[in-house]
Amino acid sequence: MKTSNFSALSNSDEPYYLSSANEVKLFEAAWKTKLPVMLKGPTGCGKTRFVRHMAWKLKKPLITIACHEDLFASDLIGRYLLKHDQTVWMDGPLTQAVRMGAICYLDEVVEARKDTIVVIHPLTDDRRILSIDKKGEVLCANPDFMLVISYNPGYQSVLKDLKQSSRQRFVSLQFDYPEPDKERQIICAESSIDISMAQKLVTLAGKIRNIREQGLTEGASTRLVIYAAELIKAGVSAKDACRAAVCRPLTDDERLLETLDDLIDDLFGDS
Amino acid sequence: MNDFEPMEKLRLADPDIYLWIKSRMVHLSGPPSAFWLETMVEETILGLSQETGFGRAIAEGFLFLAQNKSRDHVEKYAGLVRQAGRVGASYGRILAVHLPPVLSAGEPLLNRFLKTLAIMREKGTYTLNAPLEALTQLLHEKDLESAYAYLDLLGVTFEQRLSYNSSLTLAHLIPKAVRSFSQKQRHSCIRQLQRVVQAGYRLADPFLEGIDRGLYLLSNQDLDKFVSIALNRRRAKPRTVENFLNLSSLAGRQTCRALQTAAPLDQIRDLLYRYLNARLGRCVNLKPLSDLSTSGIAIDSLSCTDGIRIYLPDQVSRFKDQDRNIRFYKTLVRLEAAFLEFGSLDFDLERAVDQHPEISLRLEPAIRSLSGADKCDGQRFLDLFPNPVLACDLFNLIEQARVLALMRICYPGMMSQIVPLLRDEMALRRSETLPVNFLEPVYNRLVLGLNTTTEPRNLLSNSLFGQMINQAADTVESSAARVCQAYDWLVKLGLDKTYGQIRLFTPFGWRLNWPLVSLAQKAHCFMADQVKLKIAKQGVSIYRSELMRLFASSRQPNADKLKTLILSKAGHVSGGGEPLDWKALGIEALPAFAGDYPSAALSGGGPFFSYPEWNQDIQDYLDAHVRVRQIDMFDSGDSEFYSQTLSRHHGLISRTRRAFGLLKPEGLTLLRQWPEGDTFDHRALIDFAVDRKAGRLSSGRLFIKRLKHVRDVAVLVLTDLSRSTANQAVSGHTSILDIAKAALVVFCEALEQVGDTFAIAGFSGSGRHGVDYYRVKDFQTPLNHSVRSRISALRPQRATRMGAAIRHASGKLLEVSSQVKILLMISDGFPNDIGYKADYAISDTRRAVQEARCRQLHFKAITVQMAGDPRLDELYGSKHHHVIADVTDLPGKLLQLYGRLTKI
Repeated sequence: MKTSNFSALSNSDEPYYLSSANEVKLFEAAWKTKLPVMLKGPTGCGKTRFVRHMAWKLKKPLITIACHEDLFASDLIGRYLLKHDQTVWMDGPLTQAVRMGAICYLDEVVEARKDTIVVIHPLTDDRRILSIDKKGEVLCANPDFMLVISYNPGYQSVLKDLKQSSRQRFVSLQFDYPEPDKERQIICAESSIDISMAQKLVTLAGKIRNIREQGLTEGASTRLVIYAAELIKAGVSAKDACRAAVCRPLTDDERLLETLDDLIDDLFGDS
Repeated sequence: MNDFEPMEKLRLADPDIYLWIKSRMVHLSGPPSAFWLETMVEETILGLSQETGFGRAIAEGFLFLAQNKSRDHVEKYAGLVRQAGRVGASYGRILAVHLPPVLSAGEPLLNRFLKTLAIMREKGTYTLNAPLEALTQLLHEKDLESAYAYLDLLGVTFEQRLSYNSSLTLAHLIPKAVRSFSQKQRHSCIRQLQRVVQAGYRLADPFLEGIDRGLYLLSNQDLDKFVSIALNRRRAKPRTVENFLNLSSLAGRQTCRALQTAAPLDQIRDLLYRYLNARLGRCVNLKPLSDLSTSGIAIDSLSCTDGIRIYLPDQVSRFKDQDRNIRFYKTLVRLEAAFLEFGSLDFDLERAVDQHPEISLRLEPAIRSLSGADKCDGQRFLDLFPNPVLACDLFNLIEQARVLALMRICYPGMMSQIVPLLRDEMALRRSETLPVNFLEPVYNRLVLGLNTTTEPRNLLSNSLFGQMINQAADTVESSAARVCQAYDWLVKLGLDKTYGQIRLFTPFGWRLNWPLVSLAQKAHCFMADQVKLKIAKQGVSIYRSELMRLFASSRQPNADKLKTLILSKAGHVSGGGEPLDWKALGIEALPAFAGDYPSAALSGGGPFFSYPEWNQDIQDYLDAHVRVRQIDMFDSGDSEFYSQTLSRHHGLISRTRRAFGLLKPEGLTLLRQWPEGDTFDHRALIDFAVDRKAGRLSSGRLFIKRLKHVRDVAVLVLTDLSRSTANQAVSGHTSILDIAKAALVVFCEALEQVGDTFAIAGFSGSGRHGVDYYRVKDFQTPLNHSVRSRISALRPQRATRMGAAIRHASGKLLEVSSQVKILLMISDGFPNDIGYKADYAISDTRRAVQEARCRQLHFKAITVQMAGDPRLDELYGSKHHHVIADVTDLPGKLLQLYGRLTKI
């Protein structure tokens, strides 16, 4: 049986997150007022890290579910399983989160089937309930429960857009790539690389983002830049690290890759 | 005898011709000889007696020969023309017109000419006119080498056994081709054409087609090799040689590519565009240097920039390896981009004076008397010096040192590539033992970082520029201050008086070209001065360069941004930001914000629809403000363009059909817990077992069923037919609209494969009552011959009132019952019509797009032929438009985009 991919986080270490605007305040307010939150932004700009950071900050467990097109309602809610001669009910990740008062994070929610998304509707309005049909149970959410979804409107097919009936249940926080100074701080903190190299990587990412609309589906994400920084820290040359971690994942178009290579050649010497 | 007695005869014979010749004779350099006059009159009268046109042509010929005053030429001309006249007036006239330049070119050419003429005459006089016109053109251009080759070509061609039709075709084809060859390659192309024709005159057409398609990129030697390969192939595979020559065969293309060493700008413009866009974060156009040939500005460099565009060689063939030639292009672009990136062209004289009081004292009297408001500040600064040439070289030296110092910091990788090239170029120059400018050692040290020798002049230079060597200036204005210091030093040493004969040499001629900047920014300078003056009246001071940057940042000036800039300055100046009298400023009334276009008269035909228009000033709709006329495109019955596109893009179409075909099997819907199906649903099976065990009523829905997904997508492609689409694409020789049409053809073929419902329409018009909406294909219309011919018939029209067209297209799309409706717009820029400009047009278009989205339509826009503009985000929304800098990429990219957009 295929199970949904979910993970729970213990609140031991503080996940690094550098706030860029008022998103932390807004999230805290949403949690206090029991409102669900939708995070919008390009790939790799820090949405998931933000949720992990907020879970740590609020000292709540985090259950992350990576959505995919074969994700069923039962994968979220739970199902009966056979154990020896008996049937045993197994809570799904969403039910677990509702019961224990965790933050439930549905990553890339538009990838899930539309009928699955409907399951979360009663949890996202003032009812805050989860109906478990199989058990005939209506579960009232723990006061600490919070639902967070993430959504990247940039690259999706128009056939996969999030319906208005779903969208209009969430407080929306908009994310984008961090400002150069902040991105440099993030890279330094994540990879322990020296500040001048971090600056160059940020410059490269900025220049690549300038041509976002010329064939790249999305610009170079902060995540990719951090990967490059980590490779450099591990002894790989800056040029090779940027090509492998930043350029190649972005596109297969040879002409675009040539431009990206030119930018790398400009910024990094042979040493 | 009276000199003018013969003229009297002419006056009696034909007073009109007499007067005409008299008026022309006034312009002769001296009085004509009596022999010339007598012969001219005699022959002209003889010609007139046969046919007026012949007589006039003879007189014209004599007038041409009067310039070189050769009696021999006059005699020969009279004899040959009289002889030709005996054959017939038509032949006589042809010879009378074309013989004079041949005679002037000398005896050997005349002999070759007469020999060729005899060959061609055998085929008929009809073969002479067009070919001889082309010959005359070559001789006027003094291209004797090509003229000889051309005569040989004509001889070889018409020596062959030709039918009447073939002779007629070749008599038009060959001169047309010869005229189209670039002067540099003309001789070589004619010689190769001769070889091809010698092998078979039928090969001329494919060869000339091949030249257009890419053979023109080959060097002379490589073209020779290509033709040799083709002719060898002809022996082995005679049937394939035509496809080889016209590059429609893969072998032909591969051979051409393998031989090509030159890098033409057209081929790599897209790459360079993208690089510039990435590096500078804004669009900078790339133009061939040949575009400047008529500008009247001396260009002695391989590249230059005017701040808006970068000019590059049309083609680089400096190295024998194409990759190196491409790298050289990149080097030129990197150097020119440095001036743009580090603000050299943002130089502001007023700011320089403000920041450097030491120069303000020196320059202030001159600034007050500054003239030439249409000049850029760089030029105005140089004009302040008694010796502007010296000031110009000093400015280049010091500014280049500043820019390269910054590049060393920001782009160490780039510098490790560029500096050796610059040094090599300088070393090459030194090896030429030409007189050296005394600033050159300073340039070597300051700019190129070379260690100079201990020549007395260098020591002098070092002492002059010692303090500059260790520390580069931080802004272009600081560079200007240093120019003043250096200039004063040189004046003290008396070196300024004689300066000017030997200019400072810079590698590849890399330097700031202020006259070019002035020319390009003339309009912006004028506008900036106007705005600056108005703002100054409100007590706010803004630098001219700040306004210029604002105007240059987008194609159309943005009043909001200007207001923001003014407010920031007002706040800065007055501390509290006093309220400004915007009305008194009257920004919107300035020419750049208003603009005007001639209005077009209303014409009848087609049903009319009224639409509102959003007025941002009153923040409300103007009811029934725009009238849209729906016109069914005329079916000319000619679908040649369509079929030609199919064959030209054959590869792309078949690839796309395959790709779109592959979308289908992936488009399966998996139905779980289904009563019947292909396989068991294991989750349902477990539930079934659990229910049975628990004694509950179990569901019998235990299967998975795979259903072919039904793509219920309808798309309407709306094409901008404004007059700007008649412009040529940045690369290639076709218009933007022709490429957009080609994209439509490819798109139609692909959609037929995938089965989506689609419609095609175009729009243009003039004024709010004259928006035309051209229906090319409706949703219900099958893709038939009529649609194909309508696509072929699309032509550039007038202006672009986007909002109304989008509203009308949205209405059409809403009539379709499909689940997903997409409105795809292809345009080449911003909306622009009478009373529909800049911010007003953008706000209405944005509103129309928002209305479409509110009605559950997916709106996507493709802007071609632009390197990106931040205002496109305002127009369509940041995630809903795509820019294709090179329109030739459109057919491929359109499909890619649509495929991605509708991927299940």
